[in-house]
Parts: sequence; structure tokens; C-alpha cells
Amino acid sequence: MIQLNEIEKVYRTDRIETVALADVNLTVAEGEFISVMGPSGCGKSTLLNLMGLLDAPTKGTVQINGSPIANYSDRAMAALRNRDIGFIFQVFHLVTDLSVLDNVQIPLLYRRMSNADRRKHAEAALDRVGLSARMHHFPSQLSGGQQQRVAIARAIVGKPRILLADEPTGNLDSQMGDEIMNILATLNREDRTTIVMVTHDQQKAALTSRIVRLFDGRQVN
Amino acid sequence: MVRHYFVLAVKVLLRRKFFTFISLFGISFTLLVLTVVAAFFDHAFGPGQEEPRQNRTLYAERTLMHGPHSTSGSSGGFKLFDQYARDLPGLERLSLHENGHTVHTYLDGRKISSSLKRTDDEYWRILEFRFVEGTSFGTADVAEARFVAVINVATRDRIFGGQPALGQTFEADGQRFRVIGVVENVSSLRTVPYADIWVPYTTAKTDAFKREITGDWNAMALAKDTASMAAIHEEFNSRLLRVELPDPKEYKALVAPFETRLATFAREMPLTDRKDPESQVWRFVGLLTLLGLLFVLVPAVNLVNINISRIMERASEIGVRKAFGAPARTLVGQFLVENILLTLIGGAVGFVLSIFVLQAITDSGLFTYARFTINLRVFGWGMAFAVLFGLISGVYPAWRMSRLNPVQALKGGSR
Amino acid sequence: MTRHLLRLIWNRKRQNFLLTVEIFFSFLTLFGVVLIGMQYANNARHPVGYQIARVWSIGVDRKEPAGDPAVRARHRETYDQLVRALSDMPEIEVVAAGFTGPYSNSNWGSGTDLTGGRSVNFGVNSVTDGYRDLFDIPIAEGRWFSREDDAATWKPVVINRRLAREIFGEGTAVGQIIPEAPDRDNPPPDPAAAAKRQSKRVVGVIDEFRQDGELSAPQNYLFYRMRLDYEDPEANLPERILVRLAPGTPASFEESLVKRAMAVAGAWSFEVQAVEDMRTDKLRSYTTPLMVVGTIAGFLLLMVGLGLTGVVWQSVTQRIREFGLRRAKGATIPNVRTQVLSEILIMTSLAVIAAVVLLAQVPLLPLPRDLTGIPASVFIASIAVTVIAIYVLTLACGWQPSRLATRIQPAEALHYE
Repeated sequence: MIQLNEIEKVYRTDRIETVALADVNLTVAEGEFISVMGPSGCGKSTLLNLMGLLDAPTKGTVQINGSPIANYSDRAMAALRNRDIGFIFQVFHLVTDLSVLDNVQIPLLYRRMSNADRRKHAEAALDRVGLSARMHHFPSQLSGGQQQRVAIARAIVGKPRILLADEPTGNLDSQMGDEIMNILATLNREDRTTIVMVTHDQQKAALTSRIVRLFDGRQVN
Repeated sequence: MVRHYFVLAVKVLLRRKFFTFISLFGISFTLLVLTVVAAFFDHAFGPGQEEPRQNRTLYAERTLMHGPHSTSGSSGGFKLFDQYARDLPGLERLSLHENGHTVHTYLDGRKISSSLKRTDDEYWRILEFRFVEGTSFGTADVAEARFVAVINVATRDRIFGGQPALGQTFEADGQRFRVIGVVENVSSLRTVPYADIWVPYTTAKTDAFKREITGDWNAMALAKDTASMAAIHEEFNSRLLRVELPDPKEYKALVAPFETRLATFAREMPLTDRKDPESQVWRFVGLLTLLGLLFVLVPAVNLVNINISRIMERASEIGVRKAFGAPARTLVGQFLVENILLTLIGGAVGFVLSIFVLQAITDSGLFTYARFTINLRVFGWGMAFAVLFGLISGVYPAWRMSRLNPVQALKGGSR
Repeated sequence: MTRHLLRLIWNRKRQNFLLTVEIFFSFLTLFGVVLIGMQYANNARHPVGYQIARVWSIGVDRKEPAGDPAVRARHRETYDQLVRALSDMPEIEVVAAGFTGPYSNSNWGSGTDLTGGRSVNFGVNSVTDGYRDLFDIPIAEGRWFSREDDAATWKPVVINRRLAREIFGEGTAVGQIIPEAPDRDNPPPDPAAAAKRQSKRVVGVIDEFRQDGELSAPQNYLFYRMRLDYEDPEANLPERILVRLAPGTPASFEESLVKRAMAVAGAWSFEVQAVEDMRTDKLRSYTTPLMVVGTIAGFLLLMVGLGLTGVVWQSVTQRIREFGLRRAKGATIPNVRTQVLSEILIMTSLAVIAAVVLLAQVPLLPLPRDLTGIPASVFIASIAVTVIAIYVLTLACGWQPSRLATRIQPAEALHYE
């Protein structure tokens, strides 16, 4: 599903060159639920950004479902992200001025659908994460766990094939964190969604099928 | 979807109330000025009450004689138009009328000043005055030099105390006239129909004017249709080459074109080439647009500044939208709509304020008999300015927003 | 500290640049208004050189061009009769005729080349002998025109002190002939005519005659003598007749006056105006453009004020954390307020310095007549006033946001997220 070949990512400022990733080769098969672990600053988030087409590698190729995205225009990449990829962030990144329902509909705004259809899909997604009752509330009225569940609903509303989660349980207590892991596992099991999760938490990582470890931008075992 | 963006736009505006207030204040004020100016132009150049045929009327008002050492400008002379402007191709009617002169009427120890215009009978057929009493003078009145006059309501109030004036006589500039018609007041900004008293030109004290090439006269040409206007303009210009100039040693050429209303005004503006008989309207419009843009520049720049910082505040939202596949164009569109919403609100506020300002200007009597009003046209212009302003002040920040790297936006965006 | 501040400002240069440019343009516009206002005030201190109480101006429209010599002669005679007829009226003290008069909209300017290569410019008028008495023009040296000049072989002229000093320096002007260089461009076709061309001799010097009134700039002025009883094809005919009324004459006299004039010249038109009313109109023509430019300047300043407030406010809110931190590290309230205000000061100073440097070049530019001869004191005073006004405005705009910055409690600010 996702294939990274000979990936290198270097950040250059005026005087300093930072090597975020070097010599990374990774293949994620369809339907896998893997974790990426490593100490802070080891390049986990960069890896996720590359997989999500939010950033481009300095060297190497990224392939999504067999298509190399090196030649893709901005618009094509945006379309691909919209269709096939969903994001979940550590700090939720919900729009505080929009209701829960409106937040979840955001990815659908960039597809041609009727308003009624969008609403239907959003309600369905909220139902899957168990937040139907809070449809018209605002993010500030929800707990951390509930906000992350809204973010998940937003990530899955468009039925993407890939979910990229950057420390999804990092800001939550253990109970809420478990809830989130349950939802992710269910999505992976029922919809065969490919999930790549970056995490610090050894326990959570143990629930996934494979762990990729990074240290200083390189894969280790 | 529209509702989504609309609701969000309103929320965003309400989030930083102070900024919104400052922006709205500046925008309303700017658009107030622009709307008042638009109303002014509409009043002075738009279709007027007494000029329903303006769109197929040409005017010859200013002449310019120039020679190697000197230039002399004035209105046309009676002879110039009488001899050379009749029977132009495509001409339906031609009217000759003099510039208005101030005359005095002495009544019971009071001095009453009025603007008197000497016209022919065709004047009344090209224009459409609103008569509250009587009628205008006709061909026979002019031919026989009868001392009859049409006066306006203001003059009737001043000389006859507001009583019906038909058939009464009054004296002006030493001549006695009988009133045969009373018309509604005409704004002094509509220079062709404006006057207080109209009399047949044949009642002039001397007839020296009939022999002048340049003098105090204007010509108004009603074309058969708008297509004939160009022909009239061309033909008269070519006839001008044959005119015998009053002082051939001093002056070699005469410029006296038949032009549209706006063009006659544009010719008098600074930076136009008065010696060129061709139309100066585009230069005038260009100058106005430039001034308008300069005027709008300062508040626009303020708004751009505020907008850019607002974008930075919303980095998180922008990052999310990009992550979920928003094309750059949609983001730009979203932001532009938000901005235009703000400027439209400002435009509406400015519009309401302009009603009061225009009323104040009308009441001040700064321009005689002028009544500035808002009509649909002016409203349209006001809203158009608001949208334009929203575009000008929104395009650059929107473009910046669409170029934000999603990774950076998400990182820096929890603030 | 200053270097730190400058670095801060440099980092936010885009926003600050735009604002600095706005302040720059506002400065220039405000300066224009202040300068013109102060120049008017300065001009108004000096006397105009004539009295207009009870004087009426009668504009004459002859409705017939006087190109033909016969027509011209006829017109001159009519004028002569008019003047006599009006003099006979008991309500009228003095009658005079002239080409132009105070506060009229007709200005006649001329100039001449002097021997020695210099040239002078001056306002001109052509008037009858009664003009001085009518306007009570004080004579500084010599005398006004009189019948003595009838037989002269030269052209008598009366000039004002400014022109006298410019032509003759500190020496006496009265009795002198103006040393005009021969006109090389238009040599008269006939040598006899050249000999006959009359030179101008100064018969009197007056203090001043500022035709356009109190707000106009001082200028050189020269009077020619006009005679209505003698045909001189080169001289001008009057365009207006001026009368001074006896004290207590009511405004209703105008009707009789005009009737009398029409009795003499029925084909002509007469426009009677009290010179005091003409003065009001004339002064308005000076003040109206000033008010228009003033309104524009006001608008600009308003916009600048708004923009400045907005920019400072947003920089404060963005940096609330920073200010809280500084306070936690021991900065006192005045320190933080100084920082905010200093930024504004530096931006304003950049704009002001740029503007003043630009304006210092101005004395080298060609300017319209009323603005040349602006004394350095007025120019400098205007700059000073504008500088103070701009600083007051910008600091006032920064005051409220800086108060906000200082009111933040450190703990609260550090928590602001």
C-alpha cells in the first residue's frame, strides 16, 4: 500500500543541515496496523509526513498504492490525500469555531457531494466513534478523549484507505487512550484500513502487528 | 457548503472583535467616501431629469484657438454654430444657447440675482423640463423677438412671492419680460438645463454676437440615433478647417468638437491635451481610477496587514484543511469570501452613512438646487467598490495563506 | 537595548515598512496643509494697501468687441459720459475707472527686461486719476497721477515699494525712468516709431497694493495712467467702474445707480458688487482648496491611526507570552511600556526623517506664484508643527495597546495558549 524506497530527508537552513531521515526503506502492506517508535527527534513525525504527502523527500521515492508520487502536481497530491489518506494528530487540531458535525465534514467539502450526503456520512462517522449525541457541541465543550474521537471521525469520514496517526494517545489519560486504541483496532479489523501510528507508548505499540524503530533518522531493529 | 463558510467567516470576525471593529471602521469610512463620490458623479453626469435624450446628444461648448505664440480659449460664437453646424449628417435637432449670466432685478428696495440664459426654441424640444405653469416659448416667439420668459420656481418665489406668475411681468438687467412658463428648479451641476430665467436669444441688447466665431455660446446636437453621433463629430471637425479665424496672424487653428457630456468635462481637467480634438475621456477615467486606487491604497494596506496576522492565527485550521486535501484554489476562495464579507458589511454601513452625508450636502445648499439622492445605480456602484476593495485587500493575504506549508502550519498552529 | 529593539523591528520589517510608508505620506500631506495655512497667516499680517469700505465695483459688459477703432472711440466716449454722470449723483463721493480692481478675478501680469540683463515681473493695472482717492492709497514718495501728466512725453507710472527696490535698489525711484532694455524680439518696423515709443517714468511710489487681498503673497505692482478724455489707441479701455458711496447710502441705491448707468449706455450690462462681497468670495477661493486638502490629510491621518493601532495591538497580543516572560524576569511596567512605545517612535522617526530630508530639497523646485517667497521661518515652523503633530498622533495610537501589554500578569501570560 505504502512503499518508501531509499528515503532521505534533509532540512537546510542558512548555516545548518539537519538530517531528519536517512536510508529508510519501508513497505506497509494493505490492511496492516503498524507502529513507529523511537526517542524524541528521531524522525518519526517526518516519516509520517512523508507518507501523508505533506512533505517530499530529498532523495528516494514514495509510492502510494503503486503510484510514484514524485511527478504529481500539488493539485493531484491534494486530491490523493483527500481520497485515500486520513490524519489524526496529537493535539487534535479541531477548528474551535465549528461544531463537531461541521468539523467532521471538512474533508468532504473538497469532494463534489450534496450537503445532505455530507451530513449523512458525517453522522455515520460520528456514530462509529460513539459521539452521535454530541453532534452539535463545540470542541471546547468536550473532554480530551472525546475531541480525539471527533478527530478520528473526521479522519475516517471520507473512507480513506490509509490512516496516519501521530501520537494519537499522547495527550490522553490511560483510560481514554485505551478507548482510542479500541476504535483504531476496530477500524483496522472491520474496514481493513491500513494504519500507521507513531507512538511513545510501548504498551500501545504492542497492540499493533509490527513495530518499526527509528533512531537518529535511521531504522534500527 | 456556503453556510459552512459563511458561519465560519462570521465566527472568525467575532473572535477578534477589536480588529474587526478597526477594520470595519476604516472600510466603512473609505466606502462612505467612495459612495458619496459615486452619487456625485451620477448626479452630475448620469441621466438627468431634464435630459432624457442625453445618450444621443452631443455638446460643443469650449473652443480653443491656437497659434505659434498664444492660445485663446472660450465658448463658441453664435456664428460658428449657426453657419457651420446646421445640416450635419445624422442630426435631428440643433439648439444654440448662451452661457448663463447673472442679472439683477430690483424690487421694492431688494436686489434679486438670477442666472439668465438666452436660448432658441429647439432647446425646449431637446430637453424635457417639468412645467408647473404655462409652457415654453416657440418658433414664433423667437422669430419675432417677443419679450417672454420662462422662470423657475425659486425665481417665482423670489419675485412673485410664490403666487402664480403666468402673464405677469418683471424686469431683469433693464429689460421687461412677461412670464409664459414656470418650471421646476434644475440643479446647478447640470450645466446645460440649469438657469433661473430663460428668454429668447433674439431679445439680446445688441446683435454683435451674431458675427462672432468665439464668444459665449454653446451648441447642443440631438442625433437621430447613437450611431450617427460619430458622423456628426467627424463632419463638424472637418468643417472647422474651413472656418475663417478672427485673427489669422495670431491664431492658426480652431478646436471646437461636438462631444458627449462626460467628454466636455474631461477636456477641462488637468493633464488632458486640450489642443487635441480627440476625446479625452479615457485619460480622465484613467486619472480618476488612479486617484481612486491611491485613495483606497492606505486603508487597503491596513487591511492587508490585519489579514495576514489573522491568517497566522489560523495556521492550525489551514494546516488541517490542507492535510485533508484542500486544493490551494479553494483555500484562496475561502479567504477571499471571508474578506469580501467584511468589506460588504463595511460597504453597507458606509452606504447608510452616505445617505446622511448626502442629505447634509443637499441641505447645505453648497450646489444650488442640487438634491443628491441614492438610487439603484449608486447602490450598485457602492457594492461594487466594496467587492473590489475586498479583492484588493484580500488577494495577497489569501495567496500567502495558500502557500503555507502544512507541516509548518500544524507545528506552529496550536497558538 | 536600542540594538535589541532595532533587531526586533527589522524582523517585523514587512508590516513596519508599510506603516512607515503610510506615516511618510501622511506627514507630507499634513505638512502641505500646515504650510499653506501658516503662509496665509503670515501674509495676513501685512497691510493690503487700500481701503474698501463703501466701495462698489461696477463690472461693465459692452457686448461688442472693440477691435474697430471707430467702435473703440465710441466706447471710450461712453465711458467718459458714464463717469461724469455717476460723479453728479449726490450719493457718490468718488468715481474712478480701471482695467481691474481689488478682489476681482482678473489679473494682469507683465514683465520687462532691464538694462544690465536682469528682468522683473509685476502685476499691472491701468486706472484713472480718481483711483487713489477712491481707495485711499497712501503715497510713500512722490505723487499719484494728475493733470500734470497730460502733457508728458513719457508714460507716467506709479509703482509699489517692492518693485522700486527691485529696480532701483536703495536709491530714489521718483522721477526716474525705468531702465528697460530695447526689445530685441519685436523691433518696431519703423525707426521713427522706435523713437516715439515712450519710456516709463515713475511719478510716485506707494507702500503696497495687494490686488488679491490679505492671503495673497506680496508682489510687485505697477499702475499705468488711463485717460477717458483723450484717444490713445495703445491704451486700454476700462473693464470696471468703481464708486465710493457717501456714508449712510443704503443698499437700495444700487437700483438707481444701474438705472442711471443704463440711461447713458443702454446696450451695455452692469454688474454691481460691493467690494466687501468680492473680498469674501476671493478669500473663500483661497480657503476652500485648503479645506479640501485638509480633509484629505485628515482622512489619511485617520487611516494611519487605525492601521497603527491595529498593528501595535496585534503585535502585543502575539507577544503576550513574551511580555509576561519579561515581567517574570523582572521588567517593570514602565520598561514594557517603553519597549512598545519605542518601536512606534522608531518607525515614526524613520518616516519623519525621510520626509524632512525630502522637504529640504523643496526650495530648489519651481513653485506656483503664491507659494514662492515663503520665508524660511514659515517653512521651518511648518515642519516643526507637523513633526510634533505626527509624533503626538502615533504615540497616542500606541498608548492603549501598551497599557494592555503592561496590565498582563506574568503567570497569566505564560499560560496563554
